[in-house]
Amino acid sequence: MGKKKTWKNIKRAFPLYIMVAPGFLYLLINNYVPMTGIIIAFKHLNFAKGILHSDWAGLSNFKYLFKTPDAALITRNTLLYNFAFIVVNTTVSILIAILLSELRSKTKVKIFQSAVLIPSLISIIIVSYLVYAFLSGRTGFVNGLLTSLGKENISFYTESKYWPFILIFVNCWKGAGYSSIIYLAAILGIDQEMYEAAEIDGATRWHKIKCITLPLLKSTVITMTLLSIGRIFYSDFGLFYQVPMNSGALINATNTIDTYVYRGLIELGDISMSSAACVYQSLMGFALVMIANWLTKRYSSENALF
Amino acid sequence: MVGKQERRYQRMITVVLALISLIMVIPLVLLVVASFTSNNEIVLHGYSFFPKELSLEAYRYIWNERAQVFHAYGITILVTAIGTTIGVMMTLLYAYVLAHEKFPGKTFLAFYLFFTMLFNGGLVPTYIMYTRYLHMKNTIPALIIPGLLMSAFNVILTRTYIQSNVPAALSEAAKIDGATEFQVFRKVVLPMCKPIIATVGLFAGLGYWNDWTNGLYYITDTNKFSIQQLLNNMIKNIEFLSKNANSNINLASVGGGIPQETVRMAIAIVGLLPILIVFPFVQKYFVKGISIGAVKG
Amino acid sequence: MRKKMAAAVLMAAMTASLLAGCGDSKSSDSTKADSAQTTASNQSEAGDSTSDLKDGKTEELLMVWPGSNASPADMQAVEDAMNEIIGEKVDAKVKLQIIEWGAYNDQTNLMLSSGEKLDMVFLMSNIREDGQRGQLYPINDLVETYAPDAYGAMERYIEACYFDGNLYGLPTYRDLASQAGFMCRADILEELGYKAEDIKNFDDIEEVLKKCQEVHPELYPMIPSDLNSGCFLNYVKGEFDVVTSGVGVDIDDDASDGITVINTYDTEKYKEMAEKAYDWNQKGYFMPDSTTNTTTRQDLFRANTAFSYYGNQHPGTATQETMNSGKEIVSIPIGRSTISTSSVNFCQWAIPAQCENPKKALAVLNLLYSDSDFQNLFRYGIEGKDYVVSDGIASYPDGVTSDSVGWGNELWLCGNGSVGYAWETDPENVYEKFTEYNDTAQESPLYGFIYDTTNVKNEITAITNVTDKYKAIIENGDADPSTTLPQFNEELKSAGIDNIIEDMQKQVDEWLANK
Repeated sequence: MGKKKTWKNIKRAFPLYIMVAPGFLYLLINNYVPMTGIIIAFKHLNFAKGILHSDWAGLSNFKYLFKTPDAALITRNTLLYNFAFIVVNTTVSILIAILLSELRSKTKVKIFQSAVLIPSLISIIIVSYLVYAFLSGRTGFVNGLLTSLGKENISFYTESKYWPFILIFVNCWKGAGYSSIIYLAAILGIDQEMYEAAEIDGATRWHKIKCITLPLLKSTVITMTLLSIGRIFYSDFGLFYQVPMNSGALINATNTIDTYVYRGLIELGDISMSSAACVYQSLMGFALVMIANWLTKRYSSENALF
Repeated sequence: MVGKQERRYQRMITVVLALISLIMVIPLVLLVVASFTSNNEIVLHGYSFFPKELSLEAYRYIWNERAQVFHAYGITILVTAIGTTIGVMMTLLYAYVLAHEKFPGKTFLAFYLFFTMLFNGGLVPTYIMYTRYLHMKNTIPALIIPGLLMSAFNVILTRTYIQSNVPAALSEAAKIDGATEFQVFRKVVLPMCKPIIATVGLFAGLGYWNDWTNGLYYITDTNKFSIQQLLNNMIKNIEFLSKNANSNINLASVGGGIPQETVRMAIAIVGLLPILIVFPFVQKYFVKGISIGAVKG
Repeated sequence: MRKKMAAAVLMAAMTASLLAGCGDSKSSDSTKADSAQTTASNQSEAGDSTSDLKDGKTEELLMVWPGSNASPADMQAVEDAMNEIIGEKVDAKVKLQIIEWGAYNDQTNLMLSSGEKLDMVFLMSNIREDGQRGQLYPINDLVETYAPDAYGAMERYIEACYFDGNLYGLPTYRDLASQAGFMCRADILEELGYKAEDIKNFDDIEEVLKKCQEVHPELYPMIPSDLNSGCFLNYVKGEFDVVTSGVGVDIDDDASDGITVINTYDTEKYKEMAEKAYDWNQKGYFMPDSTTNTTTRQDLFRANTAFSYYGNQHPGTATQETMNSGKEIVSIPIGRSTISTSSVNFCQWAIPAQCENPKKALAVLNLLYSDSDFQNLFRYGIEGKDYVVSDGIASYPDGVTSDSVGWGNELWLCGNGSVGYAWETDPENVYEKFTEYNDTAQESPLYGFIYDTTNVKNEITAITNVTDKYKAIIENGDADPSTTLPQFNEELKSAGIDNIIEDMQKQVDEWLANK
């Protein structure tokens, strides 16, 4: 009987399959077929022999990620920064979104919303020059301010202790506006009748935010966090390489898996090894996200990714 | 009484948001000012909000390439319009299906989508796919299709939105009234999705507008350069020449006289300006008050 | 379910075609290469190349090189004129494609990897990496038959373009040796009361810098030559031949009793440099924040804020720097001029593995090394329109500038530029000067040796990360070398530099034995 019922269900779902077909095909062509290139990570790539016929390398392309005194450092940096980014960015962007949604004046909303979106539109290379304008030792504004206050100058580009804060700040500055749009959309989609009903019941503003807005944002927050966890072994190369100006003195505080791989392979240009790094980062992210998704499924199943 | 309290509350929010906006915008102001500063002054004294010597040299440099710049704007507008429209449609359809109540294959489709966010085959296989098998090198579709058309991230955002903001009961009611899946999608779900359509449309549009990598990989024909590719090439050419000026090769034209520091800033402005002009028009879709009651009624 | 199955089948089919397709065409390419090699060697014995080149089939060959303008106005005219000359000797036509500097390495890498049409390419990357990946066509057996003039002209340098026993490229005529020198503002040098001839070593330089500091406190006495590096980046240039990751040999190592591979960062000379850098930094000769500086030296000169730098010098440096910085620059050779594998083989013309007819491609390249009309055409464009000649010197016609000219290529990518005209801004007798400069350079004991990095890739990645951490700081004297230098070498050791030394030593010994 189960079989018959399945068939009936499939038939009923046929329009859904049609709807999903364009996206399905696109992902097939754009993602899945090229994904076979992952085998490059396990090969000694030689184009004369072709990708398929190159010699197998086993796991030797992965070795360089672990056979280094820096392995623990780069992994720790990558994970801790990403963790901090998730917490700080989520908090700040929800704050911005709620403030924007509380504002009555439409013109003000438009102005502020444009303003917070701007940083995400500036390329990271330009951002690195702007950061330099503020922090440089010779001509930076911050040091100019310190001088005029009679305080001692700080050489930001040689003191690694400031950089965790600088990077978290820059990342939040650049990304919070963008994610606040997502949260704002979610808030705007909340049924207005709920707020009206709550008002009639005499709810205060704080109550409405706490009891209506935040709970309804929960699923968006969970989704966004799950997505970030999937990429927790990745890092924004520009942020960690360009923004600190590749300054040698800062490397202990700024070296992540991506910058390590970039620095290491810039001379070798070894496609197999860089591909191995991606596979490693993806696999770790995949494992973590599977665990997180499983937990989500147990506690609030409708928010699980799949 | 309530009115007064409300006004005070509004004023407070305004102040907080104004502060946040200030932090966000100050660097942009610096960017604009720097692009109008004379290059020598930046070299000598660094960036400044109040430069002593203003100059248009950076824009003059770009203006020399105006024919190409305007052509490239045209290409980008075309690509952004087509790509965003098709992409948003595909995104909405996929998301609608994922938000649908259980049906055979739903979990697979969700996983199939999510998996692409984690794993990719890398540039070389993708390049081979698009150039050797789909023959897209030096064509406009090469600027639209690879990587940008539909992002799994946007689909998942939309799915989450539909799940939490469009009550299943509504679609159910429509179906009982005899509506097909397509009718439910068009008549019930789409009207309630305006904020998220605006959001993913904005993200997709920005993605197209700011993309230069597809151009870098797939386009060598200067007639098909997008604006960001053109601008990015300008910067990278300058950088390449100055970086390699000390190597063994004798580069006769290290872009002598190009005001490098300010051109970089001016180029960023040229790429950014159209977005700032267009954005307010997109914003009208971020509106409150689509009440479910209204749709029901 | 059905859909899933269909999808799975479809995907499997596409996957297979993607990889196998690429693999197949590649492997057939390489078999072709093998057979081509055998036929070629047979023919070179027979000594007849005309029948291959004039076989009546006009093939189109795609020729790719970098430039500042991807579609210059006279591209078509130059292409047509080139094809006219080619047609007399070879049944082939070239299709020209210029890729902009900034996109060049990305795009050529993809073209080489994907196996799409490409017949002649100017490489700006180390031949070792492309050779290792099997992306180039070995021309050992073809070059003497099909490109005899190119081979003849570049014979001394071609040695550097072998990898693993195969010849992969034709080096171009340029400053193939390298030498470090002191470059400074001519007007200020004169004002300080010195003559360029008086400056011979670092003590002389220090004297000048000290004087400069007193007389012109507004100028940085010395700035770094490159972004993201210290002011003494080039101090030990000419003292070592660094092969990879700081591992190399002392340039004076005598090959007759064997060559010793060393860590060049752990030497007296490097230490001396580090100490001097620290001393000069303390004395304030160096621009502050040099290692994170974002302004090029040309801009620093132009803004009237710099006096000198220590960098690469060759015939024509002074003219070039003067042009680019808008200040009269004088260039004073200080270091030894040396020639090494890496000073030759980082840019050359090569035949990609996917080339369908390497013989014809080589024959076309040969023209670039021998035919003066072809050379002038490729370098300067159409005579009378893009350039005019007087007394054997080419220059822009009236009303044409470097911005408006319809064609133009740099000397160092034009094959053998010395068969064509000199340019008006070149130093007098430029080709004699270049030839002399190259011929008189001291040859590195490892000249012709190309290191195969296969066994030590893990170590190299670790070491480049360590180098990024310390090198610029030490070479700029930002930290006391008595603690930093040992620390640097300590970390290099734990990153495995000894393995590289050992591995390279083995390869060097083998190479010496076979020489």
